[in-house]
Amino acid sequence: MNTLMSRGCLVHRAALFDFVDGLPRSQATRPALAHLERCRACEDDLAGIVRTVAALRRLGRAVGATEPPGDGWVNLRSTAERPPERRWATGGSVAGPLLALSIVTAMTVHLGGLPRVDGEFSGPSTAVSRLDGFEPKVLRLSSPDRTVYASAPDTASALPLAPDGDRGNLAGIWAQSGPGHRPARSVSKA
Amino acid sequence: MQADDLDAFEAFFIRHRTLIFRTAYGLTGDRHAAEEVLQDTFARAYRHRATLLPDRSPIPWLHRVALNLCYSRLDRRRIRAEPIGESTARLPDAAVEPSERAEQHELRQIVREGIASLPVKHQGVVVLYYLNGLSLQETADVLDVRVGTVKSRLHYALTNLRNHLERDRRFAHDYGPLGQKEDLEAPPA
Repeated sequence: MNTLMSRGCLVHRAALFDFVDGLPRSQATRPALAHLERCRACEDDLAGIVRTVAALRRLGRAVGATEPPGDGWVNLRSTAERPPERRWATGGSVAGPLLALSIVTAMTVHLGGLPRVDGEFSGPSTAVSRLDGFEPKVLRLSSPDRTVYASAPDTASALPLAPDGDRGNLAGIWAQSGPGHRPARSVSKA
Repeated sequence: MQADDLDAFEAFFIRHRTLIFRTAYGLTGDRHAAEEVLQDTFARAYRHRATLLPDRSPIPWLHRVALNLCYSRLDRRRIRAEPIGESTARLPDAAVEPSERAEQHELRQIVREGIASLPVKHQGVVVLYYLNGLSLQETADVLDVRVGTVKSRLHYALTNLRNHLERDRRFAHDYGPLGQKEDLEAPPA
């Protein structure tokens, strides 16, 4: 009697599974059963399958003993009577492209309203500052008494700002936007 | 059933709910999850009632929807691992001793774990064919595959399940390989 499964065992395997499952016998059943009588490996294998099927059928009986809840229809009816959710007629597939198109349109309109510098679009801050002639210029001067002075090249005056290292007063650094302009704040050394 | 007739839909629900509930219960092993799958399945059936053909059985469609809902739930692992038989074990059964009932419960749990360890496709055929008692042809119709495919999947599933069960010592005690039970009962002197 064979104790190891061979290629011949695999030939009869499907017929033996069907036999275990109680399916109608076919032409392959008889040779499979004949093989089973002389093959210990198939006998052991099939015995395990028989036990597995028995366990499944036992579990199937437990499943078959369960009943759905009695109030299922009440819950379902409330769901069925609820009005369907409103959706766009075209569905969600066009929502993305529409959103992208609206963003592109908004950006185009926005950029089109900006001034051109040298024939090219410029970012808002650069364009505005150049058009207004606004060029922040700061000169930081040091002195022997450690006072920081800020001035502009075309301004005769040099205003004291803050002691060196006192960054809390750097807000006083002024930017010149034209002749005669004075900073809003100036801080002199205490 | 295609018209907006809630009475007809109620009859439709009552006629098919048990089968769908047991399929969901067999696959999820969780009564509460099975109830939710049942509700969701029939809610979808109501929404798509216009597409259900009166001359064709709705059972395969309902089963497919229920299986997909179960799979998505299993994928999200939102289901509690309540073993099958938990609710049925609570049913009064005077003929079964408590110890025997507990043993049966444990064995069902082992089998349930074994089914859960199978690939999804194999779980489906096992639940439909063995737990829900559908025929090979009905199982094939539900899964929209050929009968030969169902048989092939069943063979793979049984082999994998057998290996899983026999690796479990609790299961192997009573259902181990041939000859093992006798060896356990009569240890060599």
